[in-house]
Amino acid sequence: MTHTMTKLTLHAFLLALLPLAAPSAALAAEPLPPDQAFKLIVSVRGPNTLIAELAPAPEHYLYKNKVIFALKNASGVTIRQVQLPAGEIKNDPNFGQMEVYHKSIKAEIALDRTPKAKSLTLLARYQGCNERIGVCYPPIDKSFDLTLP
Amino acid sequence: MLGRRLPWALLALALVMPWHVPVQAAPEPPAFTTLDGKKIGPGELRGKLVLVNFWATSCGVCLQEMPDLIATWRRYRSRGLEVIAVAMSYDEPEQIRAYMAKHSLPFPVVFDRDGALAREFEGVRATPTTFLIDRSGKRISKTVGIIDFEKLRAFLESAAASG
Repeated sequence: MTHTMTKLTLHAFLLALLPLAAPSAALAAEPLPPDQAFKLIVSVRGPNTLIAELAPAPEHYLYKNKVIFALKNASGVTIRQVQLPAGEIKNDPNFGQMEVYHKSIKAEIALDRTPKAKSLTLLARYQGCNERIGVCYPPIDKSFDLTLP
Repeated sequence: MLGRRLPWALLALALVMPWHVPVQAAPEPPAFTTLDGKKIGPGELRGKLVLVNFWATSCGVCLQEMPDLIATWRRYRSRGLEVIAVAMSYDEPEQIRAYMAKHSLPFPVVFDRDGALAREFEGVRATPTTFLIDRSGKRISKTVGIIDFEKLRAFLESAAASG
């Protein structure tokens, strides 16, 4: 009797764990984490210039019009101009002709500053997609604390 | 002695500590609130096949599959299919409304303002991501990327036949 009860209890325990054996997402292709899909390196090139290098992973692309830079904690410094290279034209059935980057690009950020202004935080936002799986990422926000020479 | 007590101990552990078990399948569909404020509770979805599609108006792939999703809903809704389109937290309600109006989306559209639904659905982080929930409320599939509509229709045919 005790032996039978023990077996029944064990079966009940295994049944309780059964959902673990059939995870719904076991075979789903997961996209890369955003920071692996798109890498951003920012550097100070000179007293008035920042360089932001954006690199999509293979089979990924970034939308040119979704690459945006702004400053905060930057008293005496403003962005004068952001120069982005021309992208490849992608014909999107919903958005029309879009410029996209499949390869690493460098954005040149020209600054206006007062001579005493030294420190700033660069905010970067960018968004892209994975071509093979056919998924798009949320906008990715990054910030970099920088000191100007 | 220990051998006899172990199964009881394990059962007790399973009962009192269920939150430590990383169960993937949700016990029942969550509640949804549409952009227009209508609540869709688990009770309304019980007995239906529910397709939950996470999308965004900035996601070209999502917009590309929307006409097929509409066609699928039209074809199978009378046989128990419900489609719920969940717009991601980073979308803009005005843009969602504009898209809904322009394309006459016939199924409920939810704006996941605080990202709670994306977290609940296995941490959706890219769109489109689509889940199927069976008639008992169990999550049975997850598709990351564009939906294979041929496969989906084949599944819906068999599910409709057996439902």
